[in-house]
Amino acid sequence: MLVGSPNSGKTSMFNRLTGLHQKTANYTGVTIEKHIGTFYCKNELIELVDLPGIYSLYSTAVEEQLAIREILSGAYDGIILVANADQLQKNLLLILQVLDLKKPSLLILNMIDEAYKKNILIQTNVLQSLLNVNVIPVSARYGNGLDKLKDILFTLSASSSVFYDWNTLNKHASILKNVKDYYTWIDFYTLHKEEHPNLQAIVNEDIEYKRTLIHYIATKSIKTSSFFSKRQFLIDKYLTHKIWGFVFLILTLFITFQVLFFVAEYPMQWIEWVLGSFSEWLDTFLPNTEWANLILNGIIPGITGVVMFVPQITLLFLMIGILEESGYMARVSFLLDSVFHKFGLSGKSLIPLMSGTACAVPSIMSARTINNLKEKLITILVLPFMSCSARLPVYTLLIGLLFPDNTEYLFFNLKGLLLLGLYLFGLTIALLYAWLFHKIIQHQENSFFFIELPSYKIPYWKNLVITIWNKVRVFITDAGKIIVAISIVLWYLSTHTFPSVQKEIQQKYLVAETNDSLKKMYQKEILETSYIGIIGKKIEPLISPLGYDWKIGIALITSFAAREVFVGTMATLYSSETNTNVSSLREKIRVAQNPDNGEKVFSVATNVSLLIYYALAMQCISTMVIVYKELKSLKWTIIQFILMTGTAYILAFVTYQILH
Amino acid sequence: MNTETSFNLRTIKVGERVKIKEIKDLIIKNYLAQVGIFIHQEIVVSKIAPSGSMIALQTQDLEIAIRADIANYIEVQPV
Repeated sequence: MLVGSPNSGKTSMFNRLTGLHQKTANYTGVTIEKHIGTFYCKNELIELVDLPGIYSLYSTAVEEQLAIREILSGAYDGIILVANADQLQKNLLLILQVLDLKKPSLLILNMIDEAYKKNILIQTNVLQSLLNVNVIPVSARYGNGLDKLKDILFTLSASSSVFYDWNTLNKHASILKNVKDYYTWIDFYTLHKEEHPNLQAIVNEDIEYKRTLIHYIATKSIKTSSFFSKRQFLIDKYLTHKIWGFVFLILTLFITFQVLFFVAEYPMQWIEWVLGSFSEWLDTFLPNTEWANLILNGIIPGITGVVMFVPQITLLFLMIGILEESGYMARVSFLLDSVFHKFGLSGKSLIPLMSGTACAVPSIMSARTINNLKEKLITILVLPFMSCSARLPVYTLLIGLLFPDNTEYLFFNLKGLLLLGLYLFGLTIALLYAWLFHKIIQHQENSFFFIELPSYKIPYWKNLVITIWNKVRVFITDAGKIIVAISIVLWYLSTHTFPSVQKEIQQKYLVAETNDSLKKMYQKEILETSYIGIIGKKIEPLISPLGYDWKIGIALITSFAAREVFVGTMATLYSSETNTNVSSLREKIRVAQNPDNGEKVFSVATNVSLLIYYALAMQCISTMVIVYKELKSLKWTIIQFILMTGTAYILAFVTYQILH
Repeated sequence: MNTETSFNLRTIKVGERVKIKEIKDLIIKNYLAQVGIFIHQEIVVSKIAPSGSMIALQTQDLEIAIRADIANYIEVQPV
């Protein structure tokens, strides 16, 4: 089991040891992730668990509590403690606490190369003798020291030294029932800290005792020349400056979204072309049967709706990964905390909000790191306004309809500008509602917010690739399964109706097989009388003021399962109706006409109205479930739904009425 | 300068090196210790956020930014 504090390089170590042989699991009953991987050591298969980072065994954050419970469970063969070699002193409190549990352990000093660069010399033999546990200097980035780690992995032993004062615990024996050593004390504290506020005094005594030890161990084993580097000081001077800091931040976001659209466009077009051509090729020899229809108009459009957006999602995760690994994200938190604080949010809200651009579900979970209840509640309530990656396929499709070519304005790609605009629009609305909630919700509590500002680093690319792969894989397997399944259901609902009606239409168009014009009319009538057509028409009066027809209505309903289903739905609906020479999905939708007046269904007004609706509406059942689980409040879940969807409806209505 | 005199951390300017003399709240004291800030530790105020809402502190091996309201509880003395 890997145990270490945040920023200790624990996950880099995990990725280096297990490579792609890893899976993600949730803790029982909650949605916090832990990573489990395997690797071979002396021909034995080792299972390695990467726990969430913890600062100490006294941490109270939910995520850290779960890691502590797992450490206390003893359901493992040994603990690999990971400490950042250039921040050893900071890690010593956790190291001493874990060693006091008397479990088989070893200590890895990760990033030893970084420590050397900063003139920090760690005398590992001295440290080893003081801690009475094996200490191995390692560089997870370059793989140095891993052989030595594997050599001694089967011979782990518990430290024979004691780093706590028994008198401290003995003094409070009347409160500390059944506490007989450090392990039972931590177990007792974890379970009873809420009932006994007096335990804080014992915690303080323990920390004071360990502080003396930490000072002694650090003095004996760490030789360092100075405080932080001048280079870092100089970079920070500009990146956290009151003017240049914000200029650089806006520039970073601007470049991110330009790259996101410009670079991703090429593989996306290629994927769309390949799958479109494959579908056409299949159509030339497949017989005219129900199965062939299912493959061509149900399965392939569904798969296209998943695969087509992989390049963009990959790039998004890459950009976020670079910002995090380089250390810049922490500076952004530092810079924005003052701004966020005014809106009732925390600087720690930035990571959930930024991650919300990938997916709201894990981001809402990551809001657990916010200690202040009010700030946490507000963060969760406004987070789904951030444009997640599931909205990206919808935006891409609709922006592509607005700007068919790579239109440029003053050298800037207009698609990229509009996409950036949508992200900023979501952020603005999120901040607006955060401010409103801040004023409405009355709750006084101190916020113990802190940000660790790590040294600037060049991202470790192998680590980034593994992280991105894991996230993209989850998108393909989890969201992909839903999208393809819904595409198939939609295909069925859009091509079938009540048997009597279907029989009547089939008889009416008996000669349609040989006449193209009649064939089109037949397909149109089938679609309009299909189950899905009936539902879409039922809700049409409600959505027509927004510029939507019944087909868009169907997509609004189905995409409640997952926003990106909108694209698959459109693909299925339009591939059913339009059987022209046009093969690409975007073209099919672009040329779609309203049968009553001959106008384009996707006019500029409808397009912009839809973009606004999707930017703001709560169109994700998974997010609602997670919000309910995290807040344990049906009231707030319903308030959030009404707020988001109501705002989306009103603004989409106003937009359409103005532009139409 | 009299090293016995103590000041509130919020009054310290960027670049000044001081020693933590006292943390007035036990919960905050325990909390800061867990992230690597202890009593009697030497720190440098490395930067202050544009609006003054956060203060970044450097220790020997760590740079950490805390909210200004937390800094109110910290008394320091010159080194």
